Amino acid sequence: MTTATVALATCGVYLVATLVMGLLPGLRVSRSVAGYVAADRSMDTLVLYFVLGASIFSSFAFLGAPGWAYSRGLAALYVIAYGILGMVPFYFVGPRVRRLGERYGFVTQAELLAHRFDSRPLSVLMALLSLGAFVPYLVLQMQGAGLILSTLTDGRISLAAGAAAAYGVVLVYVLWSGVLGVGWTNTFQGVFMMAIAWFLGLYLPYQLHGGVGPMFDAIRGERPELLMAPGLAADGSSWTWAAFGSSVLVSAIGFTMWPHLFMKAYAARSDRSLRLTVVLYPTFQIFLVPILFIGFAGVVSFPGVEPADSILPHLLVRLEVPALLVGLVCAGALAASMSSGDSILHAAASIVVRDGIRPLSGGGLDDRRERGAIRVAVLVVSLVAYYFAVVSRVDLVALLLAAYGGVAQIMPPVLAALYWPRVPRQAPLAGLAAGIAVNCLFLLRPELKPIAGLHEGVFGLAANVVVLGLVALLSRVDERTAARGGEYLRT
Amino acid sequence: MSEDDPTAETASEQPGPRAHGMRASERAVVLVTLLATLALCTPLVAPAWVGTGPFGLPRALVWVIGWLLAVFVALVVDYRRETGGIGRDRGARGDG
Repeated sequence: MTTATVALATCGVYLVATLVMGLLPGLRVSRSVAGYVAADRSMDTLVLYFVLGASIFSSFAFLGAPGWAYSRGLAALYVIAYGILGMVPFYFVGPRVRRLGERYGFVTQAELLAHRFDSRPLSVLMALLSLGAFVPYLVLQMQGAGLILSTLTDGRISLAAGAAAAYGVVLVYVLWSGVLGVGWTNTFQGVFMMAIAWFLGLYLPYQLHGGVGPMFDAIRGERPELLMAPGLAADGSSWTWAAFGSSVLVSAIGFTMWPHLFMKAYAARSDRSLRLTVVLYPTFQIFLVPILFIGFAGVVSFPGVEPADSILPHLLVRLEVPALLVGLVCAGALAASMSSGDSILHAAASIVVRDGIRPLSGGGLDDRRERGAIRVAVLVVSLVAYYFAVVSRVDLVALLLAAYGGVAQIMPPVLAALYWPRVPRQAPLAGLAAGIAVNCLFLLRPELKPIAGLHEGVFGLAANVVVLGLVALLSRVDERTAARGGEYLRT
Repeated sequence: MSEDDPTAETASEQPGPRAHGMRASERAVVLVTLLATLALCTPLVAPAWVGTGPFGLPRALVWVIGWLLAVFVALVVDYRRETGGIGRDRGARGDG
């Protein structure tokens, strides 16, 4: 059998195993919206740990992080840095959000804010912001999955067919099992990705340099600039600390506020399971260290690989590794793509219905119809994303980068909702609108930034906080909003 | 999992005195995170990021892993303080 056949068969086995893992939980979850979106609030630490971990580690992390290490050196450490910081706010915010969800029946992020500030426009704005962030993210995951299967078969399976095969599996288990299917497949995929990453991250440096230490000695001799903090910019010049630091901060804040992660607080069985998940979460970050080693391994041995993101497949081909290993790595990359894509797809559909359609329909959907509407939305969102993945030529990476700055803007309203009772209802909406506008302005016109190099999300956050604070201080808060704020603070 | 014992949950999650304040160990989590933020986001520690650390690893990588472990330990200490320990049904609930 050829390498491609063995590798393709390995990917096929992985897809079947994922499908089975995704369908089984659907047999024991209730046929309600709370069951479909929040797993009947029953997720324990094991599943939460892998859901939160695997959802974030997308195909971009599996292929892009080695590419960053390979082309930009220590700049790649920013991924670990924001991962360390990004989960800590959840340790404090998460349990309170979970209790509020249990008390009021929330299953999405916007529901909490819309209830706290009694604001329907806030709910719709959040739904639009979430969708704007989710669709490019999902499209990139689909393209990643299609690319893997297409590359593996030398184009005999097209990108469109590859994406359809991988996301056909995702669609089936998301439709059938909802978030519990996402949870259990993420557990399987997380373990699988970690095993592959550690194996490759140690195998490649030993194969090429005789060890991790000698590998860095070789880089220090040939490309010392890669090991000078904070690494290199995309154009090969030195990255600035302002750019490095602000990217870490905005990404960390965005990390905490990504709606598909935030929503998992509602799925937690208890405060303890949620807190323990956050406590253990830094151990998942360790998984990125061998991922970076993969990229560093190619610096001296294979200079000039373009694009840098292809360094992992390039190493596998040039080193002529066994066919089974090629298959396992491709399955690992598929796992990275699907573990993020399923969570995003499920969250996007839930948000469309709960935060967009439901408030606009005057709450006229019963539980059964609402669950049905969410499943229809799963289909629609996946078809829209699939269209963009195989047809459109929009610059998705730029859209995704813009999305990170946008998602970070959710942090001030969330903190105000939970910790500042005397915030009037109009303040978070004004702050959020200002933050998004400033973020978009500096994204489109970076030459207007007051401090060059600083991430546009930082300016957006500054505008957001100032506007929210000013409106809060200058406006009168009505008694009902203040009472609800007090209730949130005491929960 | 044992940490999810719903019986223990009811008792441990009543908003107690700490609901409006922070335990010492919670403050430690915040402090360690802020220090990690400073260390990871600014050039204040740039000199310490230069050169080679243990096992031939770049010192910057050693620092990042060190901060990761510091945040992890701070979270574990606070979690133990609140619940009595990882994997135990119920422990003392300190309020610092």
